[in-house]
Amino acid sequence: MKRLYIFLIAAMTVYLSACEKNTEGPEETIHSLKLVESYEGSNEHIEIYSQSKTLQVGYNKIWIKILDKAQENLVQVDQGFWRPVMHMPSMQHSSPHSSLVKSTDPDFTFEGYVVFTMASDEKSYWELLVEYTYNQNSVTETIGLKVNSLPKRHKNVQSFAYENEEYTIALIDPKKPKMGSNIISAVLLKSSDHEKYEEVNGWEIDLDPRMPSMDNHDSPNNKNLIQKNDKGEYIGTLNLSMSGYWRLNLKIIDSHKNVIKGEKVTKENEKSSVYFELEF
Amino acid sequence: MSHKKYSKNNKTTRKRSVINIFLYIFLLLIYLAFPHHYLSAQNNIVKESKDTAEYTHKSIHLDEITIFGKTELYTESKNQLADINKYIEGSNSINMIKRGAYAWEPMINGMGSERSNITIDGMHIFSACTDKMDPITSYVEVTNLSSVDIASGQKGNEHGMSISGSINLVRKKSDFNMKGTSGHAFIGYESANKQKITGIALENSHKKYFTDISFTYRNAANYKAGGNLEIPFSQFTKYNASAIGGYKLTDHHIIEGSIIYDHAVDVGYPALPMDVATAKAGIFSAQYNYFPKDNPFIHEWKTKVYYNSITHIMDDTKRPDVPVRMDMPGWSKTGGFYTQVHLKRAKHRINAKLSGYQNASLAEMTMYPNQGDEKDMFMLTWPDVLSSQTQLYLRDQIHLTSSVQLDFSGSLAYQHAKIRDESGFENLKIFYPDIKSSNNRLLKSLNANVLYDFSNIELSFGTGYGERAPDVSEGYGFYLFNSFDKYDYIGSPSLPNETSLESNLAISYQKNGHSLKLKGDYFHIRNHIIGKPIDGINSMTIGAKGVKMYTALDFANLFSTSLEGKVSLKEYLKWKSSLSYRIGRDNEKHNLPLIQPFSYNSELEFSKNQYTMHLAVEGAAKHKAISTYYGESPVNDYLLLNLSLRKAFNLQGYSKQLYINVGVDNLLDRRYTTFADWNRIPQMGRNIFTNLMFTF
Repeated sequence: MKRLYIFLIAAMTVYLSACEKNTEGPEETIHSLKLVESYEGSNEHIEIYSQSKTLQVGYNKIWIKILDKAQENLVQVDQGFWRPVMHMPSMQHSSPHSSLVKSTDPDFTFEGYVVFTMASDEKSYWELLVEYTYNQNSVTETIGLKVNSLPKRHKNVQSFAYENEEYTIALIDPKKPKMGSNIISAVLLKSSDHEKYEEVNGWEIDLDPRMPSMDNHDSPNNKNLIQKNDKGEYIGTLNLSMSGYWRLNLKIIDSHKNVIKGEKVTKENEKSSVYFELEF
Repeated sequence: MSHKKYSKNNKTTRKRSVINIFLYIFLLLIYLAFPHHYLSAQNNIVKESKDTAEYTHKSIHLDEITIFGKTELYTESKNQLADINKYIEGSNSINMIKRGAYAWEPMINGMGSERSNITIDGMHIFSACTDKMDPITSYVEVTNLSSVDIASGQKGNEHGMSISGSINLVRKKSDFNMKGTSGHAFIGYESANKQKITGIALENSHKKYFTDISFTYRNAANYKAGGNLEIPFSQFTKYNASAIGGYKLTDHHIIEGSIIYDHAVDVGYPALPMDVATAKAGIFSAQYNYFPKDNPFIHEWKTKVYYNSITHIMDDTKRPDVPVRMDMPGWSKTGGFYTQVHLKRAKHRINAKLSGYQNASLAEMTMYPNQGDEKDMFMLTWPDVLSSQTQLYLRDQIHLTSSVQLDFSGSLAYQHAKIRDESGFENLKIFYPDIKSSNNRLLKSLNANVLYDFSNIELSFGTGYGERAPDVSEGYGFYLFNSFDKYDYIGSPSLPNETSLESNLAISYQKNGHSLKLKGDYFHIRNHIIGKPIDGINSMTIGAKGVKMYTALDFANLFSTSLEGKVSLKEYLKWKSSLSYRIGRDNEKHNLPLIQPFSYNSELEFSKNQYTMHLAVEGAAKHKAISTYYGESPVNDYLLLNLSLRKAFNLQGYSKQLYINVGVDNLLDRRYTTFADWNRIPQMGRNIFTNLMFTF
């Protein structure tokens, strides 16, 4: 009898211990910015940082260090200004970008973002013009940048014209989409001269994600993108019920609730004229 | 990428479960290695265990028990090589949902498999298919079994927490009877689907040990419905092998080990948009039986550890026109134990059982885009749900007088369910942003029955209360397409327990070989779980009507009744008939789907000089109470005529027999469908079967 009890207790122990969960630690991602480009100026050393080692078409958040020649300390500079320029054989143009502001991170001098609208190639190249005041001298440096193209079905930026202005919408997040709920964020900029860009505030971006390869089915409970903070970013909820190729159909709605770009997706109309793409 | 991840997950799950099993077996061995103090004594265990069996199965006339016996299983039936589906379907409590010719889903009292428990020798096994294409009954063969115990409602609470009842498939095994080697071999053919059946079973029985092995093979092409209509994608091939062995350590201690390996390939499901490339089950158990000597209370003590693993590969590779190719594999692995003691004390017969299991269910869907370079579309349809349950069961049968018996039983179970896959969890959060990855439930069951056994009349009535947790699909399913109502289904993790209040009555009268039995079961189910359409959410599956979410209805009521009569016209001629009928309605008086209309069968059995002949009619009235609300389509009435003949030949005295069996089902080649035929696929037309069995 006693042995049976011992056995039973032992069996229960094994059973219960088997119930214990076996959790694997989440992947640790150490947030650190990567050096994209370093540039030797006449009196200073300039380093350009981004979240990944390379710049690519679309929204790129950029941090800039202006260091002394010894590359040890940040130098004290005043107000900065920047302008990305695309040099093509026949023409040159700028690209949507924020203003260059003093970085909130003490390790960096400036920060801002640039929305690259095309990639560099053999004939066309990007330059970033950076201006600032150092020791009461105005400094202008031109730094060559390489901008990589995106793989197919990863469209993350689109421009369109409306009332004599060019609007650009660019996807910020999700950078690594996952199944389930994702936070989606984007910036909306406009320009009348392709040189100066300003953020558009108080609008709304309607979101309708679809899977073109599965009869264009949608996903439920998405939330339109609206501005939730003072950074100008539009933020919403993007639900992806499976992995694969998704087309995020958009409608740009102004502050008077007028749809100024984009169409409803229906059986007849497969996609909106303004959209992003994801594939994962 | 995703594929790798999940297969890795599976591997670790499997590894863990295997380790658990080894631990169990190890502990068992340690226990058995202890010296036995009270050996000796010539107690007749076989007799004792038989007593138990008789005693447990008392009131056999009122309970639904299909006894296959040893080889009698074949002798009772009209088609001795029929598959297990047809045997189970013979019970009035059971209807079979048919999605093709293979793997029918048993419904007890008009309720589907999510509301019942199907166990093999008390072992929990859970299907691995999100579309219910692999009920547990599909992983066994008749050669594996000695009986199928069907318990209605809470009378089945020994085998787990359920609403509708339980089906326990009892493993067939030899005794320690020194019979030496015996067995049987069989071969058969059925015309409607060119089914070829062959197999062999060998039993080896000695004083100290026994070993039984069996093998069955079935191969069928598409079947033909009435009027020579071929039903495409209804083929199947099935291999089943099993082994069981017992060793008598002493007269009081017996150990047993059992394996069933079942492998079906190329199984078509004509009523569904997908087929099954392979369905594989490995079912393993080790058991220890203890029969104490001279113990005034403990009669028998049984302890079992088990593990089973099911792999179910659903795909549509053979379908010619699909909008998008997809694979939907599923895995289910279960490990568990139980220890059960039978006690006798004065008028009490007590059965106490402690059991526990752990099941991991995972299912995936991968869709292959028609544009070649696009990435595969992937999602989890069952997010690797780990369910653990521990159950305590007690039953007391009190023999008040020689003719009055009270039967009380109760179960208490604690269930823990956890979503283990992160992406599956994130997906469910699309619908339920606040869900937690795990939940706990306490489940209760009570049953009370009174049994009067007078000389000619047996009467039983009782009442019960039971609870069940939602199954994996109801709790966690993600865009599971149901081809019956054409909706995608989403599980609801926070569903309440479904509860049922039931009452039953059975009365039978027997005299001079004639008998009449009336039976009724009523269920009032609260929090009845069913899918309801939700507005504003679109389907994922191409062609689906929309999305249904599992919700708990306030209540639903189900009533089942049957009447059975047997008349001995002559010593060699018997007439047997039965009628059955069910009603099921929800709280808004909508009919529930898949509820049996008025059905009947009637047969004449002629047996003389080792000839047995059956002439049977079976049929159903037009199904008027169809559930249009839940997507059911109409069904017409039908009437079938079946005929069979069987002859036994004794060879070498009586030591060997040869049975020859021929027959025709659906003799008139009617084209018909029943209420339980998924998407109303027509059933088999005229089917001529011939088979031979040789026992030695």
